[in-house]
Amino acid sequence: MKKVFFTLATLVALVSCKELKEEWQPVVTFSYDEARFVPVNMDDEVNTTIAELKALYTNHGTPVVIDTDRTIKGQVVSSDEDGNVYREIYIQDATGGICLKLGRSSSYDDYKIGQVLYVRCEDLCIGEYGYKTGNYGGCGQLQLGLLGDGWQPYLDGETTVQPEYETAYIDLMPIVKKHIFRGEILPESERIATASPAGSALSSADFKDGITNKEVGQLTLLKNVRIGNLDNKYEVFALFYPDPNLDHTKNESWNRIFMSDITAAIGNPAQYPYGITTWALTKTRTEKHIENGDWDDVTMGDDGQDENGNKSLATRYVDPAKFGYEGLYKDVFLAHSSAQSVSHYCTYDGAIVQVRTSGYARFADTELPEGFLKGTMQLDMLGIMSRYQGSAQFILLDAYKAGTTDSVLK
Amino acid sequence: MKRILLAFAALLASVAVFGQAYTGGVKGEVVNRNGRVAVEGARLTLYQGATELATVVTDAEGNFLIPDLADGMYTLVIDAPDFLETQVQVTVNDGYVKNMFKLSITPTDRVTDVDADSFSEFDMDDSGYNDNPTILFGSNDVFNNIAGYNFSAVRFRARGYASEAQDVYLAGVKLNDAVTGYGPFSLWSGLNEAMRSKETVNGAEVSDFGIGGYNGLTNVFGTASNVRTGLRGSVMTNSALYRLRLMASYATGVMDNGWAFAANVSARLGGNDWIDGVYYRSFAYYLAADKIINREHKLGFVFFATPGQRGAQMASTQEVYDLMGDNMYNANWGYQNGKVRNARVRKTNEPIALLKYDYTPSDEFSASATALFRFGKNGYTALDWFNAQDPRPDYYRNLPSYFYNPDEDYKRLNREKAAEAYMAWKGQDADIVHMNWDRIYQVNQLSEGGRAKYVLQERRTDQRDFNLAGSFKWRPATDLLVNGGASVRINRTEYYQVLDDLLGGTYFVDTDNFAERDFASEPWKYQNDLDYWMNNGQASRILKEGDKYGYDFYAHVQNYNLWASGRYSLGNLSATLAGRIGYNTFWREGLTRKGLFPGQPENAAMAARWNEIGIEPTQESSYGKSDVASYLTYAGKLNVNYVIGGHMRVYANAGYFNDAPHFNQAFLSLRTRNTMVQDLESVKTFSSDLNWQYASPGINIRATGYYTTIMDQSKVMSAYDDLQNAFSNYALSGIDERHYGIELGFKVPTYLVPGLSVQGVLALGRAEYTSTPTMTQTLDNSAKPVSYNGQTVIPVRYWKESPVYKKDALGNYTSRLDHMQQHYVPSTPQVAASIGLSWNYNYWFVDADLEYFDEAYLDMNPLYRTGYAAAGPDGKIYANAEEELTAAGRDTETVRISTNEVEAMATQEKFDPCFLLNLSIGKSFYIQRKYQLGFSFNAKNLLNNTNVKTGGYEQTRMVDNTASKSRYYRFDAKYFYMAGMNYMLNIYFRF
Repeated sequence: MKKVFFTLATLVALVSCKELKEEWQPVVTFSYDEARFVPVNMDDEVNTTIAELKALYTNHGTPVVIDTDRTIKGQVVSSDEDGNVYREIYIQDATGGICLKLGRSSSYDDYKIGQVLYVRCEDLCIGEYGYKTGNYGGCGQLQLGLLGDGWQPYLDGETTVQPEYETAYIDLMPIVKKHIFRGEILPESERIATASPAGSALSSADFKDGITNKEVGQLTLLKNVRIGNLDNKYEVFALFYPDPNLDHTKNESWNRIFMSDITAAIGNPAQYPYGITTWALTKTRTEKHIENGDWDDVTMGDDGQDENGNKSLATRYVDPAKFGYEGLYKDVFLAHSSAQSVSHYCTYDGAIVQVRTSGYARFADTELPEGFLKGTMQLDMLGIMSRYQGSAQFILLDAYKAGTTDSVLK
Repeated sequence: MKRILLAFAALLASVAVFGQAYTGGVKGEVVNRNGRVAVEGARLTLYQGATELATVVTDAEGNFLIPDLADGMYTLVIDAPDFLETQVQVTVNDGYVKNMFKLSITPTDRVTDVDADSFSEFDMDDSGYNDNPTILFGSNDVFNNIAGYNFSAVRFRARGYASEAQDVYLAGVKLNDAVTGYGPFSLWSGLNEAMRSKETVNGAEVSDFGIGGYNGLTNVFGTASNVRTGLRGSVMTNSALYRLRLMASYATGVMDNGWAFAANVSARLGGNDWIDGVYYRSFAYYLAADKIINREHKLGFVFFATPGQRGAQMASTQEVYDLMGDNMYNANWGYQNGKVRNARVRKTNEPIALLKYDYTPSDEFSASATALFRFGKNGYTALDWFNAQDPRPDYYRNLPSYFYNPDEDYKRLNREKAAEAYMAWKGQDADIVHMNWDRIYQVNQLSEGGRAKYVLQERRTDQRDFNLAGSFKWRPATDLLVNGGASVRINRTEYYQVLDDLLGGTYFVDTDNFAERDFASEPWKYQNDLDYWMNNGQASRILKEGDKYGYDFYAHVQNYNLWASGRYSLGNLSATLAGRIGYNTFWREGLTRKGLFPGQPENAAMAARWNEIGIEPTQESSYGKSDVASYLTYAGKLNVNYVIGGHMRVYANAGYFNDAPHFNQAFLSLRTRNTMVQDLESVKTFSSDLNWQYASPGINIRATGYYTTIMDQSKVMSAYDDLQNAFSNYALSGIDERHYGIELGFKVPTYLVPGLSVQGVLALGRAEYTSTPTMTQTLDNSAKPVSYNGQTVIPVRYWKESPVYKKDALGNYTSRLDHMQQHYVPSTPQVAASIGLSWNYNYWFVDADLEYFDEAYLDMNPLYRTGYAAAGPDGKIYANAEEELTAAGRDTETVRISTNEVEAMATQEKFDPCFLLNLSIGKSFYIQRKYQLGFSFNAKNLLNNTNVKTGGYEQTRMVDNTASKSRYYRFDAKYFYMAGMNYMLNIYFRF
């Protein structure tokens, strides 16, 4: 009896050992319990509004690292499910919205539209993206993230080279866990209503130069948007770097192509600049345009020619050693083709709005509605109002035939 | 030789019983229970009561004869070096010579259960990396006996050959995997007793079961009458693989009615001390019956399977291992609601049924035929996700190195984030360092409509493998032996995916994630099953577990072979000539039509429908039958054997082999289309070896020199390509190798202490690449091969060697070439040595061995060895870099083109050498001369060396978009490590 007891005791002791117990779990477990999502409520901790947070940023070019205990609460108003909001989410409270540089792809899996987020902001950073000084410049938009890469050495005086981006993605999960907390997903009835600013608000001086302008970063519905600029002409903008692995600012001036054109008056879609009639350009669509010769006459570089005097994509370069083989510049473009963003200039209530769409958006290759292109149809556009160099830049989430809920993107 | 020995035996016997003259006697053959091969030099002592009557020694074929015995009861004691002493009772009646036939004796070495079981399941993550070691059986070869067990821990491959070059037969049927060529040992894992009897030849030797290749041939007998008679059971625990093995077997032996039955069952359960998440829940059963109808006819039937599952280990980068402080870290598992779960689990249940017929009309002629059928399922689970984050905890974006690198060219400048990542890993936050199952479930639960974003898929390769093989052995004259045979193999393997677990979701949609990203506005292009989409207006919604999705195709492989060998003996000289001719054919048959590669419409109606939707026919097709690849294969072998004196022989083998490539290396992108690798060649191998062997009681030595060339191999590997933003396949053609070196194995008595021997092995070889293969890269979502500098078939110029440049006095690279560094066949030490002591006495054995391994190399990926990768995005190649820059008028100081680029990109990594110390101890107890109870205890790696890399692979991806834009960098390689100090204790009993 003693032996039996001793043996049993030994066995119990063995399986009580955590590691031994764990190693047997997959052996004997034929089904697993499922963990459920449990929303947090940190309302008691919230001490700052989004507007108050944005107001901390006062000087262009000077990112602000938050060094006090500040917690904001906002609702998620954007989703990256359609691919047009890349690695960022916008959150909004009654005082305004801000871009949260989350930095994780497919964030809509974890952060749902209408979900309450609490952000502990201490050690995060507010910075600006898209500011340009001068008459043709203006404010960018404020972002909440980490202090930009390289800024700490710059602020510490270790380098005199000012880094490019003021904020960096939070992206790392341990940091996300430290700062961002998921609350409940609110029912439709409790969600923040879309803003519909007047066109004058988007062309106002405050929109251009007011750092904390409230329209910027908000979920917005623009009604009755028409194609074309204020002169009622087609206008488009895209910027390509044909070989992403080569310099495009110094030695390789050819390696930067602005597709920025204003063409004929609204009415004939065939005259749309560069033949671009889709919201943006997927890799496939980009290749088709190149292969079809649509862009053969497009000029390269800031000065419209490369160091050998070549001016357009269809010209043959004279330095095969540069690429290891001989061919046309557009061959280089084709070899490295990738999805490209496009901005279509539209007019909303007398204000110009760039509707900028990523080449990775699921609707990038969707054709702009024919009636819209002809100027006979207007669209209601749902998205995030952002700002780049003082101008309204609209991040499209959905678009409908004006006055309806019929999406033209799905 | 045989005659001499027999005469000598007779002389000894006659001296012992001098003066008497009886017609009775005892004769038989002494064989090794492991492999049932003859034991030469066994000493047989005959007693009557306590009186010793005679002593004889077996000849080279294990035969003995003790003549001139009176009728009566005798005790025969068999003693041989390295074998347990065995006693048998003999009765001589009526003046006849009693034929004991085969007397099997048991080796005293440790329980050397080296089989597929002994290796953990490694998760190669589509790398194309093959980690199967060669499994050496030590039944009758001193080198293999020591190396087979001691070297298995470092995944040693004999002579550097790929494991698929080792021919493995079961009951006369070659059973290497039809599709991949891999050894089939896992099919009978856990059936050690049933499959213990086997015969092995090494290198390019010729076997009676087939002419074999250049890496040996092992035939596992597998039938009931080959299983050791009696009831046997064992309980084993080990700390490196699984916690518990229970095994039992029972065999009747051939009974008076001519029947023999055998059964073997086992269970292998639990985890181990070293690799978290790796576990076994594996079972095995074996049932067999033989019926000896009469002297001429014998039938055997066998049915077995090893159903079960085992968790796999994933390789990680050194950064991850260092962060975890554990080189055995496994990224595959995590906690689900507090319980351990592994995402990568091998699930198998592949029964094999075989029927064997033996025909022995005379002593001069025998023949056999075997029909074998393999079926069932073989699956491998893996996480699959759609528009969701990569869930692997060691994904490179989760690591400190992704955020900060002191080299500013990487543009990884965020020290703060790197520090946070470092702290999280060092703190071992379970959500960060392990698979976060809870998050995965939450994502699925919160997904709109219940569409699962993460699922567990099971990648299935289900075989229907029919084999028919026949062989004969004919001795038309005493000095001539002819073997021959024919075989047919018809294999259809279905490759497909099934949904294994919805992970809390409600449904999953059958679309191509990558294609959907690139062709979002053309929905037909991202359909995995275009026909379903067209018929139903939407992609299939996989609603329940077990439903197929993704890819689904058949691999058809058919082989037909004829072979023959003839051995002619002339005195001490014998020569064997062997040849094989075969016809191998294979093709792919797509069972679903993938939207990206629909092929051509099958009829006018389909064409009209496609046209209506806008579907463009493609030259390449995912559906239907591919081109058929056919190969006439052949091989020839010559063996010459010369016996010198009584104990020594010299033998040489040479062979030439022309073999078909394997199916799995023949297609550019198996999962998506029927397109074959261009100019796929048969593999040509020339192999030769020269051997010297000395064997006498207690002494066993073999020395071998070998030289082999292998030409025109092909290989396909897959990985995600960051430069192309797509899943890529790299097809490599024209890989040539050269293998040469020496092998030495010895075991000799010390003559100082009874039973104490010195034993050792040395494998000193070179297995190196000798060609510049070509590479074609294709993307799963594009019909166009990837173009590098305008070329689609590009030379992998640094595959066989890479340049090393001279450095100046300050240690900076110059542009002057120092030498070209040879590249080697990876994943096995090319220098392996062992020296030890072995003591056998009174059923005790103790072995202690010290081992040394060196010259092991990391598996290379071809991308890093292209001129494109080595040159960097600026396109500058390495040669004369400085001169080129000067000629181009560029600043050689500021433009980061330097000779170290090519070195950094193309050099092959060499693993550090290591020492290991192993100890084995065992004892058998005979109880009432009837029962045997024993144990063996093996302690491996007593020095607890946890820094021994056994393999790994380079990630086929590059760091691009650097600050200088002049070069690429490698991603960190992934490694597997050997377990630290571990033990195995086996307690067994036999009745």
